Amino acid sequence: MTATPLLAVHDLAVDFHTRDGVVRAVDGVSFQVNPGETVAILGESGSGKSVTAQAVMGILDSPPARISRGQIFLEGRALSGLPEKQLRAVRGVEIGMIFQDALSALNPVLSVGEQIAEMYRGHLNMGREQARNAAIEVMQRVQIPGARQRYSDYPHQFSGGMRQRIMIAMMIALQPKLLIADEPTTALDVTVQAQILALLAQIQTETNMGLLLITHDLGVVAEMAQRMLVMYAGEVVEQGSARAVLDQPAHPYTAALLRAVPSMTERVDRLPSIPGRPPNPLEPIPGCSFHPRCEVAQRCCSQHPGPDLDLVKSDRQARCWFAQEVLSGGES
Amino acid sequence: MAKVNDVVLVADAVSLEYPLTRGIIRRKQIGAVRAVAGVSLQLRRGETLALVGESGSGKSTLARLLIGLQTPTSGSIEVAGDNLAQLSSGQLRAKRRNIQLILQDPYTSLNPRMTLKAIIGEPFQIHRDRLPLGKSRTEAVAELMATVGLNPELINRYPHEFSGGQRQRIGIARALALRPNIIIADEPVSALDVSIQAQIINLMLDLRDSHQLSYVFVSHDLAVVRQIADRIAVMYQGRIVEAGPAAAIYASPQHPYTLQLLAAVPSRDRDRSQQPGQPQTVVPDDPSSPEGCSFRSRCGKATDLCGAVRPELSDTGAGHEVACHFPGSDSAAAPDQDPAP
Repeated sequence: MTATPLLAVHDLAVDFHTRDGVVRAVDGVSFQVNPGETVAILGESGSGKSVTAQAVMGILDSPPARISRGQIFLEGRALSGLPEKQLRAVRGVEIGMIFQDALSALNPVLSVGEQIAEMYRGHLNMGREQARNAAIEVMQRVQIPGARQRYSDYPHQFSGGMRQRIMIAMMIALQPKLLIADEPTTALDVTVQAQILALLAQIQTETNMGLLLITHDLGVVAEMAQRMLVMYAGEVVEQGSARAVLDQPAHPYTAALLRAVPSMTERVDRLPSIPGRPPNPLEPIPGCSFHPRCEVAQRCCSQHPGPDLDLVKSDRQARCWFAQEVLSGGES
Repeated sequence: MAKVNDVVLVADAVSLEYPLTRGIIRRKQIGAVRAVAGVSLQLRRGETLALVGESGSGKSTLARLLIGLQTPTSGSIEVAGDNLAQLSSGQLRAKRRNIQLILQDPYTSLNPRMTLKAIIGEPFQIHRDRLPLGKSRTEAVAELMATVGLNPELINRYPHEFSGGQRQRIGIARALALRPNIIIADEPVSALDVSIQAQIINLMLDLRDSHQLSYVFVSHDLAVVRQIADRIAVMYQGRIVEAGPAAAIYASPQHPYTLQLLAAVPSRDRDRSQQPGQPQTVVPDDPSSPEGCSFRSRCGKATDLCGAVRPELSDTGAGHEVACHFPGSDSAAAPDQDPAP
């Protein structure tokens, strides 16, 4: 931990100021991404994973959202508090972001080639012809068949997978150090998803780019990430090496989530499900926010929030009073 | 072999074509898109038949045909022995109560201005005779809510007051109202979080047993299908390319497309980052062609034969059918040569 991490997020908290009161969407999230590393944030809807990504990117809808605490560093430079103009220079150039829905992220009335070329013209002051060539080159890099001919096509003329490639092309155009991918393959068919994931892994090996991957899909985490964070109700409940967390979870939520995922290899009579439902952020739960759904919860869990992310074993942290028990329970 | 009276739903060589036209004033048909092409299948009592495939494969369109929301261009659909196309509208309405639909999106498939009582009770307005004897509509709705695990005290609430999983329960309660024996479920758990998805799948399995339901389960999620399906039909570009008992298809898939689908599912036990630069097949956007096997442009095994002759579904034993000239579980899982031009 001597080298400066590419991205460091420290004690981040994001509030949404709504008519019904202040909702804390993200609370005390800290993590790091190193160059060439893939870190996954796993969570269900409402867990705060996308809000975390948006805060890092500096694209929170504000208002109603506001970063109420914490700091974000890119290569040691504090991003939080930077004026919008300087943030713009970071976004796109040093940090790229791709979204689930490429169709709504692309401009429908501009050809895809022009949209990619715009990155070069706007950020690198390239001339028209030079930008056009650079755009075609990056379209070839993301393996769009017939890139030169398709330069003038519009987003609606591409399939979902091809649109996702175009968005990736646009985002890696300026060789960012960090790419944030928010559910990049959720809307895609599995065969196309496999291609896009392989493409991202390949680009990463070539450029040593850091990748922050936001997903709800455990399979995607297992295939892509070296380290992972599990979020529940705005908090990180567990983090560590992806392989280790998936093999042997220490937080009861992670463990329950892993059991609930249907298996491809065997059929069970009854899928283990997690009872109840995620908490309503407007009605915070006293104590640990997972305790009403937790099978190991004791009385203390309804009175005290889980301990601060504790070192359960080397390279593993879990926010649960019974993490050791869950961990050893999974070993048997 | 199933007994004849065990079959509750039959599709026989069903096709649906959309005409392609040119011109605004003098419209001229210049071709047709076959959304569903010559599909035959049977649904037996108490079984779950899964339709799987990628977007655009025709699986949802087939589901709409089965329930009679769309009329096939050719072929016939029989529900409990009656051809839907030959029924009068009154007979069709009576028939429809036996076959109900559950939709994917619990946010858009419920009317936001109606209470649960109105939503779940609405089918009784049309089919009054299906109201259980001696019960008021409110009582019937409360009972349905309890059946699907919703608190009956919430009967006067509106859909927006419920979470995604609870809304899907509302949709299921509505589908159960007329005591159907067939339910067509189009991606019923795709919009739900993993922890909730398992609850809904378990509920559907329980209801299948307690209400003697048969399901047609449309899904792109092969892990979910693994848990619920008895038989599977794999669709590609409007056709069934492989069909058979679920266990057989997962244990030894025969069609190259099924192999690719299964291989593409992200797995907890695989680490893609350790094997960068994996071979990829990038498929041109529109590989459709009139002749030959429609999958050949993505297939590692394709030969000239595949370009000339479309393979028909044929039985490889024990009801496992495949439409491929070169079926088998071997080699062709991931073609690593360049995509076909």
